[in-house]
Amino acid sequence: MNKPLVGALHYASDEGWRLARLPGAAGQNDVESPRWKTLDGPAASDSSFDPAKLADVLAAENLGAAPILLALPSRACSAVPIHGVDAIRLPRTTLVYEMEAGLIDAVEELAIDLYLRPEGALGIGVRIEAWKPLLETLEEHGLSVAGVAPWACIALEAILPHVSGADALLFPLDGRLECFALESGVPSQWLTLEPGGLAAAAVLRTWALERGSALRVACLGPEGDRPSLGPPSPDLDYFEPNLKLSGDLESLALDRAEVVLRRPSTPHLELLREGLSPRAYWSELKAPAGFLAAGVCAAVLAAFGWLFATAWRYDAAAERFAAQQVDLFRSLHPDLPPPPGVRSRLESELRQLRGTSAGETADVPQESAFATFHAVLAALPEGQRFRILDVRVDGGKLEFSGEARSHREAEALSAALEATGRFQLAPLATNVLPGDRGVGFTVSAAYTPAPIAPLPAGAQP
Amino acid sequence: MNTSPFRTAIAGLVAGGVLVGLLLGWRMVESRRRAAEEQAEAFVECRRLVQQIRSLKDQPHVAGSREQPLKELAATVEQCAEAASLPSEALSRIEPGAPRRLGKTAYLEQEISVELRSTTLPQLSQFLHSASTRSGVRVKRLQLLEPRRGGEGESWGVEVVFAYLIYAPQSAAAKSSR
Repeated sequence: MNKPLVGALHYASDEGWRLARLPGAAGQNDVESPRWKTLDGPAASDSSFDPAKLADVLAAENLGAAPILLALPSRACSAVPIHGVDAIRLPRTTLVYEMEAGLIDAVEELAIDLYLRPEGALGIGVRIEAWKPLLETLEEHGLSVAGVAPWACIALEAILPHVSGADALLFPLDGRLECFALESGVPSQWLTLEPGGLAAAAVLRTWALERGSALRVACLGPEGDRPSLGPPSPDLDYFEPNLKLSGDLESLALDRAEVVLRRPSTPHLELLREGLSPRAYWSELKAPAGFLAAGVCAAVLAAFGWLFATAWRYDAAAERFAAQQVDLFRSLHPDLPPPPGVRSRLESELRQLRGTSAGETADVPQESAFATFHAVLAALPEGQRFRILDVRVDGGKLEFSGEARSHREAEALSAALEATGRFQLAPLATNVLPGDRGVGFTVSAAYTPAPIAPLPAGAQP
Repeated sequence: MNTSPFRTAIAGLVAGGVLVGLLLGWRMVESRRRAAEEQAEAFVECRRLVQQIRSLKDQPHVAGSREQPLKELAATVEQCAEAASLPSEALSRIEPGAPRRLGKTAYLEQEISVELRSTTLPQLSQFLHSASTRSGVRVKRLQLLEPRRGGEGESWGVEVVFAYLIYAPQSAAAKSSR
């Protein structure tokens, strides 16, 4: 389905602003009905012309955001021919400045488009200052101007396919006579003349002289209203166009306007550019913005790529370290399956080992009754007679009782223990046994084990 | 510039999606980085732990890692008696006590009272030595009574109290009791 079109908004010098709705356009259901509607607004040439008033009038037409082609009157346009350059190959800027010699205004003050051909070009411009306020106002009112072109050029482009082989073209439009010179089917000169064939004949003869050959001139117009060039002359030949107009030229031009609006890529003269186009600024930025957008996309893709690559590297590193932990555990316990948390398992194992190791149990009793008993046995003097009747050892505390032949021998036993330097003895208790059986004694002592000597430097435990 | 609201909304959504995606991606990378750092730290710590475990394994142990059941204790005492060439009738009583905590330490102490009859000093010395070499076992108290002279020399009635030290931190004990 085609998008809705508004059609052409045209300023005709006699009627003021006119709006033509195209077939299928918003609010236009009857194709055959008259297309043109004269708008109740001020003329563009009035000094009191207020674009806002025109915009209000258009807004009342319920046009929505459908595209409008602004068709300019010929007298608002400047046409400058450029000769002797390959316009197809030259940069557009160069061609524009080639026009400057034939212009009153500076090229910077004009919105310019060109008809190009290998031997030259026809540049057509319109003053930005004159039309930009209107375009901006229409945009501000939500009206979408999709194109700006001279009404005569729109009509010309509609006619051109039917006048292949002609060197010049004459047709009446908007109460004037439009006169185009053609080279290789491309417009090379343009003049708008007062009605009447004499002035046109003079212009055409001049062009024929410049070209050095007779011109084949196609004259178009409604039956009975075709431009006449007067009596035949050697400079001008009539060229019969392959076109029979059923209506007026404006219908043909409106059809062309529809083509341009529906397919903006159709080659046509377009003045909605440079300073005249509200979109011009963005158009100029289009290429850099495209590069910027491409750069941003590339940067975003690169960022995502970097993120995933980095995440993958970290994952690989984490897996490597986890595998190394498992290897460590297996080196310690080859027969055990590695637990899920190797670190916590090793920590637990180390805590337990510390708790059970000799060096870590300083806060628990260490005295061994066996060590004390062994020290006593080792300290008992040899060559003395005594009898031990009972021994009680509690950790490092010792008490034993016995019988000796005399106090002196009991004292000697006590002294032997003391001589080791490891026993702290309580005063020896003795008593004489009845029946001349000697003396009884009781030894109480506290044993201190010898400290463990440090290892010599370099020695392995 | 005449841009449709739909296209603007789509562009905004795409830009927002890209930003959110980048943010999520960054958070993902950060979490992976932290995980990798944690694994690296864990590896270094494991290496240190393994070195310490190896060095501690070579040291003598003064405590066991678990409470020994009565059957196991009796078997240990019998093995020590056998190593000291004590006849089976010399081992008249083996009586384990209940484990009790040593103050506020991480250790429990379980006493095992053993009564021997007609034991010579060399046998007793061998018996005590054999028991003392067991992990976590020490001779806590020793009483020799009633020496008698016999064919193999002087023999004694002996009562030995062994202390079996068990490493049992409070938190681990609390966990195991749950």
